[in-house]
Amino acid sequence: MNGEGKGGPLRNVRFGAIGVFVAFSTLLWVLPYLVQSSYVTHILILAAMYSLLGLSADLIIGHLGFLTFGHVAFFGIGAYTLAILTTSCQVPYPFAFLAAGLLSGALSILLGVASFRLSYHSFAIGTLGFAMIAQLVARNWIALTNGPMGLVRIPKAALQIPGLGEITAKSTTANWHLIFVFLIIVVFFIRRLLRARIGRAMHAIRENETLASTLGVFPLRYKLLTLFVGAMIAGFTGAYNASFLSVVAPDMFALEWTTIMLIVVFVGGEGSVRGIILGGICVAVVPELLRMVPSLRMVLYGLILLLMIVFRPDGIEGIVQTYMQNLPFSKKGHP
Amino acid sequence: MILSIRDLSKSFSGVKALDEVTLEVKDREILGLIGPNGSGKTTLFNCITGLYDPDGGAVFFKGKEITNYPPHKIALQGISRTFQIIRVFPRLSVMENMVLALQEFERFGFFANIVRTRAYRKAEKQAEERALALLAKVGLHGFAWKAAGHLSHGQRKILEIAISLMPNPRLLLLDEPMAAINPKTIEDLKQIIKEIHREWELSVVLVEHNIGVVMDLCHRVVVLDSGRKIAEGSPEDIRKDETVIEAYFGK
Amino acid sequence: MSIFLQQVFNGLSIGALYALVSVGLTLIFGVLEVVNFAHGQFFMLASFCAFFLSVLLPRVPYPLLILLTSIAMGIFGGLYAWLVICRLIERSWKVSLLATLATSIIMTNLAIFVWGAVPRIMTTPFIYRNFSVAGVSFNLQRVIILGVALLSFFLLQLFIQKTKPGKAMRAISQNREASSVVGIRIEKMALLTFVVGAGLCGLSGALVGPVVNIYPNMGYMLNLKAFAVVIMGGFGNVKGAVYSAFILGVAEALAAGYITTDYVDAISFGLLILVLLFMPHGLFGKKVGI
Repeated sequence: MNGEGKGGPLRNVRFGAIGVFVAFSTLLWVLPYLVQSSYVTHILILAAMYSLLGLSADLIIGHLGFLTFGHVAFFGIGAYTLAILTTSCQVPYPFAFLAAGLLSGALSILLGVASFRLSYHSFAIGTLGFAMIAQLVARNWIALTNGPMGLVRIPKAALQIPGLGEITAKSTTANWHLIFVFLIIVVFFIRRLLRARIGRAMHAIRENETLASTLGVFPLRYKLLTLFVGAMIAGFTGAYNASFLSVVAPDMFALEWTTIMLIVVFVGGEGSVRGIILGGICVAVVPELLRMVPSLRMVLYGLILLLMIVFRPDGIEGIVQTYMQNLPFSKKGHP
Repeated sequence: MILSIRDLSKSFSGVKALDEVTLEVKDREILGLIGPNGSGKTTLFNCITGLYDPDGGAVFFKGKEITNYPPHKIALQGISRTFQIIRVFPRLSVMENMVLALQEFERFGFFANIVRTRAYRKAEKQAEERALALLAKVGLHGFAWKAAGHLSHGQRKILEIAISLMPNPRLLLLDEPMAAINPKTIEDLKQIIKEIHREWELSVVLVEHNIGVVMDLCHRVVVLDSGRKIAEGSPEDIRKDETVIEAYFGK
Repeated sequence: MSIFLQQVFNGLSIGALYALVSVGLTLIFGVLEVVNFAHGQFFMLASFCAFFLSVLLPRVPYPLLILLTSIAMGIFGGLYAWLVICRLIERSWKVSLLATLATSIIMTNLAIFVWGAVPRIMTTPFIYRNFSVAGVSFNLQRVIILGVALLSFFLLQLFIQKTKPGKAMRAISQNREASSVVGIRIEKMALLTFVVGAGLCGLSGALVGPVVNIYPNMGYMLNLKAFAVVIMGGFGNVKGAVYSAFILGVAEALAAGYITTDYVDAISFGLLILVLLFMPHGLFGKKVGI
């Protein structure tokens, strides 16, 4: 993104990176078989989900430049959509899953049209309000959402293949494989998007929206597009969460999830795919190392977020980059 | 007539920045726009390019009314501009700055962006080649992959002009391109403007305080004072015009 | 008719609370361009502070209690500004937004951890005293809330308009760079703004605490209402905030009286959404400076 060089002597580094990627992925795929612990697999799944939430939110926060506090609403909307469709309406899982993402995306357009013309501060507050409204609806529209009790007995991910019957992700390991694949797809997708024209336009809007518009970039189009993609990914993630845990409840819209999302983005490093994945892993793993009461854990989250913002705004990615600059053959050695 | 402005007015909190300004830009001419500070030159540019909505009057480009078009639509019509205080994207590379100016003129769908279809890749390659050619022309070829923020002030001015030329505009609005740069760069810039005007089918409106540059480059000159047009004519005529002298120096 | 007047009065006293909290919020934004997401938590802290003071020093007269709480919160605000805000003044708006959001999370959960979720109830000599005029029952505590609030706004206006620090605050809100060039110490003013904002929260905490249940999560809802008021009044517009606060308070009270109490919060939301949709610059227009 920042004036990187092209081709030439860097191709060795790139092949090396692919090799590392393949090796690492294989390791992660088989990890549940090596470490026969449902608990560890659970953590892996959590890390993946946090990363997905962070990546989808970062499209808007880090790449478009708009601070949003309501992204978690799409996570919950996706979850509830899947839950309602599979339990009350008996819709087959794949369609429900798709619907979850699409509905989140559609609602995001509504939110975007209403709020993108606001100032940055009002946008942040407006999106927070959106999440609060979603929570209110989940809690009070009992006919649809069963209120504070939530919905239970949501079926696991299942796919009907004609001729072969139904494949279901029953075990934790199977669920891990499912979300791992989804994460890889999303990462690939996002990276492609960011390096394409759409990504360029997003960054231009982030850097200087007025200048971008005088060059022909229609800001609203790219803002809505970014929001749509981000909301859709969050919606899919929510749907996955619903079927993995088999329950949904209004607390999916709560400030806790928003905090986690913000920590993943800012502790990981906004604007960086790798950083956010690292952030997701940290946020999933670290609390397990320090068992504590929920309220104290939230204090810790808040403190980490605050300290990172004040002292290390580049997040983990910043730390990684500083470290990597001291390696030979590093890409960042370029002027 | 490439650009026609009729009775354009714009006020800010009761102060009239533009007061029924009427002027025309002929095809392939270089028009100078001069006047004391605060006479409304930049306001006029901003109204033309959609950054402000005028309170009254109309703007026509190639016969089509573009008065209330938003900035991106104006750019797509074929009007490019530069700013008084340089605007580029300092954190992006020079190359990215350049291709950005072209990318919205041939848009590809979401799918094409992700999958990188052949048409998409071809368009990207052409944009890059065009950028490199333009950068070579203005002498910035070696900086293509550097961050734009690393360029010197004068280099950034030249870059801004190169960026404005990427989409092959019919009308170029330059807002004080010679401000705050050294004489050598001024000469370079003058040459660049002369060359591109000669080679391409380009009309230019030049806001400038440097009278030497105006005399040298412009075919015609329009003078604004306090939001009103007070004189119009060839550079020599304007230089001797009494009302103009009064506007700049007082009675 | 008396129901109407009763609700109007109740609404005014609710509005007074909103106003006291929102004025600090909008002042902080107007002068420093910082949205203090923790402002509702400042109020929460103030309420707890007032409660514990009333318990630890039962013989202290109520007016002194109010003063002590305000001073304590003022000190807290100053400390917070010194530790956190001053470091972030030169950085982008995102940074302070996130920092105050993080602070609100820390404060709420720390309160839950330390004090637990059981609500505290605070009493004052005035809380059970009522008097009736023309069929309307005036609760003395609420009358005092309203009165003190109005007095504070009047004093605040004097402070902003007539005193040197107040004028400095206005200058910064209009043009920060120019202000520092003429010698105004931005960091000092940041501290002062937070002291005033937090002090107002302290005032409202001591006044309103007795009227409601005091519990750690009470700041959350208030935050959102304060935001609604600040947006309606126009970011940085102190007078606008005061008017909007009273409008919201009365609207809520009338809705509660005539429709139902269940959806009172929804009314604030609804109003906030309507304003964001149709008048993003607020009801009273854009104002330069506080």
